[in-house]
Amino acid sequence: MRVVALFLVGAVAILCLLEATLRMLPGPTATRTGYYFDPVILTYPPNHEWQSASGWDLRNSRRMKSNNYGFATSRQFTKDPTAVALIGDSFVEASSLREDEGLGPQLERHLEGRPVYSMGVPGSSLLDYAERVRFAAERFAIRDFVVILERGDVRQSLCGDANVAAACIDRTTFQPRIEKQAPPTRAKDLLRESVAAQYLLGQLRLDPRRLLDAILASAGPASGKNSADGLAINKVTLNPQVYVEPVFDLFVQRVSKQASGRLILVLDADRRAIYRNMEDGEPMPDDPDRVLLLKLAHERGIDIIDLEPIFASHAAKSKLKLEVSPTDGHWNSVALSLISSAIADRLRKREQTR
Amino acid sequence: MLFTTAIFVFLFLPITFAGFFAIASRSHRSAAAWLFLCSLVFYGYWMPEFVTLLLASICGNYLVGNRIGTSTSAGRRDSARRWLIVGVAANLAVLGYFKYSGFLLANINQLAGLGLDIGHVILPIGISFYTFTQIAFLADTYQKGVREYKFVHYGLFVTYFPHLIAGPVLHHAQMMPQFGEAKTYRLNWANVTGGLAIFAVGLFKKVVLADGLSPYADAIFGPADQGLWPTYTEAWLGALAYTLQLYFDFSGYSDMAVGLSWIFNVRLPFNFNSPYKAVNIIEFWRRWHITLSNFLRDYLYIPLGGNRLGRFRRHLNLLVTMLLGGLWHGASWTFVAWGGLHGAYLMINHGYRALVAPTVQKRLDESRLGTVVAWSVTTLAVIVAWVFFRASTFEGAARVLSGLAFLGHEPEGVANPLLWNAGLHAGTGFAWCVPLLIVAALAPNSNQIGTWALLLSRSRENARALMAGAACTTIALLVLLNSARDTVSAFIYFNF
Repeated sequence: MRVVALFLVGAVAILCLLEATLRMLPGPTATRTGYYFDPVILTYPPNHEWQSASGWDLRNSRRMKSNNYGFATSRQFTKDPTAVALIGDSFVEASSLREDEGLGPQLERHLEGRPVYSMGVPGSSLLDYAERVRFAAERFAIRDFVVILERGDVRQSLCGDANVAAACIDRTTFQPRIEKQAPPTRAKDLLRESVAAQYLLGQLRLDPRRLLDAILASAGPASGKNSADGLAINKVTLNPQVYVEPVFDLFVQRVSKQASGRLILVLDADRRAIYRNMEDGEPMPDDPDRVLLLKLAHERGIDIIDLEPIFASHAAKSKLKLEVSPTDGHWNSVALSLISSAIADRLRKREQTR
Repeated sequence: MLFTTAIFVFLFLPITFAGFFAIASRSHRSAAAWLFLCSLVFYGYWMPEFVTLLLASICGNYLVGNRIGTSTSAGRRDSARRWLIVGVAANLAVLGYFKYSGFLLANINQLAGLGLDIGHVILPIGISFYTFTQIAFLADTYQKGVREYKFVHYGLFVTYFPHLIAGPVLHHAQMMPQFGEAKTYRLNWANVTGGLAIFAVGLFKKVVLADGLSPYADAIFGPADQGLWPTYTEAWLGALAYTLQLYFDFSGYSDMAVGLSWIFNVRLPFNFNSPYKAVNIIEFWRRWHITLSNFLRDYLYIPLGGNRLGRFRRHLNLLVTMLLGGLWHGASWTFVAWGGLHGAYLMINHGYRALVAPTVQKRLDESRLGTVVAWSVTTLAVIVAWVFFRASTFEGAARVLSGLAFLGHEPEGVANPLLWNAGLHAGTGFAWCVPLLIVAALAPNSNQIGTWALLLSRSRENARALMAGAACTTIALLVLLNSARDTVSAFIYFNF
């Protein structure tokens, strides 16, 4: 019995050592997201501070703080019809970069003083963006909106997807629904206090099924597991031709009511295909989601910036990559500089033609 | 199977361990056979097709060894010598085919302008290690009259899973007596706990330190081989990161092998002894990959004449030994260049010793400044040589070396473009490298920590239980960390 007790003491001592080490290192801390300002909009608590980092080795660590409306930006939001709302997911939040390298601050510099409200929340979807457009219009009287779309955003609007914050569309009936995230259990609340638990469950995303797969997988030394990097997108069995149009139309229907000024969509490109094209001269394959989304936007008269020609032109001139890292497909500051410049140009052009 | 994977730690090891001691309580020979079988499963998990080759190699060498032994016992030295030549030649032929045929043919094609092709030959994992282990067995049988009558023990000696894939290179004489001892087959919780603690240290070195450094080396050497020029910051970071990565990777593997082996009451030799504490190249080679250095010394350098044939031959023998040692690591001229460079370093080191009077050298050794200078020169020489070891091409090595010599190219757009493209920052990279270099140069090594853990585990029961809990938790956490990562990272020496 004494041996067992001592064995457990040894085990607990290591866990305590891990906790202490991670507290000294820039380990991730709890974000505590919730529906603080709107019943269907997920944000951080107001003025909440947390630490973010990426990868097992805690790269690109950054001390983050939410503003008065729970978005990860130092700009405080007030009613301001001259502001531009920049809406998106982790591509807008850009937690791997310094704040001044993010899309909002870069765009703000291009717009010479016009405030940009960065309303990025990681892991959200097209229909969540529509809710944020509504929120920005109602709460801050904003008229101009820039919505950043990555290729997975439409799929992530299907109910049941882990990225759905609240608004979603049913996979079979394509009817709008609300599917809110469950509040944290007491156990989860308790685990949030531990940096080690955050690291193991949040950063490493440990789960028993994955571990079982690792035990049973017969991968050799040379083979790699498929990278779950930022360029990859969740696979769903539904054909994009089936769900892209209803999701997009619902988004347009909801947004058009709110965007009294300008609405610009910005669509990410298949960067891997661009690099392949530069290296081997292989023609870029058309991503069906992208193609369909562009077609629908043009048909519905929505202003959309396709980033493919912008990124392709950069890749033709420069060897500098556009991602944070090979395993993190979020845009880096070079990409954000190109994008912010394109958005600013489009905003100015539209201003002149009005 | 990798020591760092969940299947090894949570499935293979417990089954092998439980089976071994359960069987050992009834029959030692059956327990050895079980371990032999488990070692084959360990090997065959990746490359089942090469288990046959491994078994054929074991059977062939066992038979040849017995022939040599029988001939020697009967006083027929000529016959024994013939069998030795046949055995060594057959081993080298197999190794040559799998490891060097493509390289040889590529060189012949280039020199003669031919287009000969033997297709893609897959390198069976661990072939260099098990071939050398068996050549040493044949040589010992011939020279020292070593005999092995039990096939199971011989098979286990070669395939013993802790050392099969990447060493340490074992001598027959080190292992066979242990397989014959009754205490090897008795469960010894002190050894199990000490072994787990050593395994945990090795696992940490591999999963956290080596794998943490690896991106910084890969980010520089990969693009340099593809034609991109690193800046001087990148070149220094890449070279330093690889210097440390290789050490923590391979010494971590060796620690894991030693620790695993203790679990089965078998003592493996230490393979590293703080090589980056060395203050000259001769000392470096006494501390780095010790079992291979000893093998090359005993089975190559000394048979070539060692230092018995005058100063010129001694230097020549050193150079030849190091060139072949380089080639052993891989079929590439960059490995030969690495070996040649170390051969040259050793020649210079021996030449310097011959020139400098012992009293002057003693005074230098005792001076702190002298030690710092000697350490710096040695470490710099080792780092420069690793550039050839890591680069796939001479052009890539030249690009990194020009960066080290502050001849790097002006970057485009950002300060360090190669690091940028890998999403890395120079500051973070140096924050990894500098403390780890200090640890490698000053801290106690894992042999000392392991010995201390074993002693503690043997002498204090309470400490043993505590240590077991701590070691098991550390191992579980590190395996979970490794399983959660995006890619499986093999040990560098698996390629050799």
